[in-house]
Amino acid sequence: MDNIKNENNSWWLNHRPTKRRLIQVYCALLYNAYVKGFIKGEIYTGKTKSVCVPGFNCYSCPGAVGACPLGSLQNALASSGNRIGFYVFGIIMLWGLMLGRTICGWLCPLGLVQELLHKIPTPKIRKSRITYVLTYLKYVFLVVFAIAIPLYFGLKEGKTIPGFCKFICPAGTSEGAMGLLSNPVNASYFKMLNIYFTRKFVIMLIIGLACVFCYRSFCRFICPLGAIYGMFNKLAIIGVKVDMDRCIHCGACAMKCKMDVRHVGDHECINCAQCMDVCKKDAISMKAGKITLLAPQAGCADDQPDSAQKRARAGRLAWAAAIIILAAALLWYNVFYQQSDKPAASSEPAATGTETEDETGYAAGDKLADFSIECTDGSTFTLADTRGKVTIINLWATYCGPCVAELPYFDELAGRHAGDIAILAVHNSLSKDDIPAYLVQKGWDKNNLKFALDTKDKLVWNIVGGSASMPQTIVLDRNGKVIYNELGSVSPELLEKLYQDAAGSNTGG
Amino acid sequence: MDKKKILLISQAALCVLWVVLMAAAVINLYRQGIAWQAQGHPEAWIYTREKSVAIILRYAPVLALAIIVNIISVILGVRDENQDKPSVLPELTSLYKSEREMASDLAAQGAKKENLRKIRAAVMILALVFIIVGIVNGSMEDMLIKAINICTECIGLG
Repeated sequence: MDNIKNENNSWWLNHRPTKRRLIQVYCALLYNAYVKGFIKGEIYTGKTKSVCVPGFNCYSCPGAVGACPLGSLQNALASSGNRIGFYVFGIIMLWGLMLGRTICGWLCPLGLVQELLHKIPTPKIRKSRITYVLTYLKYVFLVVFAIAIPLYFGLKEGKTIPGFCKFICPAGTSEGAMGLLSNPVNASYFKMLNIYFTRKFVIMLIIGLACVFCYRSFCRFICPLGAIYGMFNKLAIIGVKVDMDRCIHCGACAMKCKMDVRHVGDHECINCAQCMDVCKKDAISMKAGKITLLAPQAGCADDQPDSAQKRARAGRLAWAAAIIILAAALLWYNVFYQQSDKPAASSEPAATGTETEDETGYAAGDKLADFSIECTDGSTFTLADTRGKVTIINLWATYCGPCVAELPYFDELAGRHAGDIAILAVHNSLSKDDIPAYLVQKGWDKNNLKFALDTKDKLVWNIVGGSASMPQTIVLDRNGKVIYNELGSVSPELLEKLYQDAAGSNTGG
Repeated sequence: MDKKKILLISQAALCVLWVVLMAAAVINLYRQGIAWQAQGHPEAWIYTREKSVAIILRYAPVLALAIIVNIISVILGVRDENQDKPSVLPELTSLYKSEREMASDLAAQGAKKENLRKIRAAVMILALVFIIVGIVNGSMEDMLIKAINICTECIGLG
């Protein structure tokens, strides 16, 4: 019986969550405290999203209450033509200076997922010369996908293309895309899925599989954020430090480490502090400046007799404070906070709507409520005046790459069917950009479309059932009835088909 | 072959199999959808919730088997023991020693610490200045706008 008990104890001792694991889980919960978002299938749109969380956490995840530093950086670079993104640069520098790659080891939800995947018992690939060389790949990803692509397209073509988010990021696919798609409320989002989803889903699977066999594959070989924080690692105030008076240069720490470190605290070190256990001289500790956060059992050289007790007491206090903060965040975001931008129209958007006569709404079969809005050319667009024509309303924004890419298709369509079609492109009301100047710069001020900036109270957005996602296209037949109201990009072929359907449809009314 | 090794290899094979099957199914679904759209149905959906659920269910037995093998392995304490062995890269230890020995030179250490403090202070000031300038020049609001509006293509939708 005793033997069994001992075995059970040792199993628990081997498998119980470490402090680091608990902090990783804590951060994942805190970054995604808007649990209601998962239930309702919507993202959080409150003010706390103007702060970047330190770790990798997609801001399109339904639970996310902060912004992703890498996504924000790419968007800031893409907007450099209008405004330099000092704010994002400053925040990333501040996180890097304070924590360096401690963020990767302790505060990154994607790091947690990678470590859990690596726990799946399979044969493992250990670090080697090859993995060491591969670690430099992440700098290539940083320069090409996170810097060059957003800068090039932003400055040259005025398009926002966050290269890493768009082509690679597994967090965007798993947290953002899958987080939204998994909710039945968003069944219509499947309409949008195309080559981008296919490619990114396969990339996500491959990265996940790589993490099963090779410790933190994404973190070591791909992550541009890790590459940035790595540059700050030696400067970072919080991190693993080596007491040089005790160190005998045996290299046991570097050899034991699963990351491709050359020595503790270099640009590959994620400050996980696991090397503390293998240092025979107890030379390694985790410090915040001069304060010791984690110390070896024998204590640090500068320890006072009661330092260990003080550390334990401070640790308990920190946990208590952390739990209170998490509880307060969960309560605030899920109970007290009310999302303000709910569409005001009567029915939900759907591929197949009701056929009720004259029902005002934005689903297929409904009639849109009438509205008038001032256009950028000084004219006024009144929906009632477009009766007898096919009407298309497109919701877009200058900072939405696919929105900008598809607008020329609408222009071509308007040119082909001049006199029989009215197209209004409505820009999101949230913009710091000078929209008329942007239209002139693109040469769109003289094309076949009418452009308008939505009013501050989101007049058009509310009438057509606009959401936090873009682009969105709404097609009305000659009687003003909605025949199509969907999120996602449209092709020229689809637009032509929708025009033909709307022109030929005879829904009465 | 040792039973533990068999479990490890089976688990690896199941993981690879599930990923390959899922990836192939998704690519296949995409190709079928594109072919259908090209046949004069540009409005047709490539993916639907029903088709996606069907794929997940089709390969769920492989995933379930992988989970069962995982649970058995955890209970039996099966794991690749090699992963805990220290890495023996000769150049790693030699480099480690030389760098560490240099770093342990007390005089050099003092100067380095002083430099580090100065650089830290400079970076801290620069970061705070950037944040304040960013709030004033509107880049904070820019960031908020982009964080609360989903660019569907950017998160892998379309």
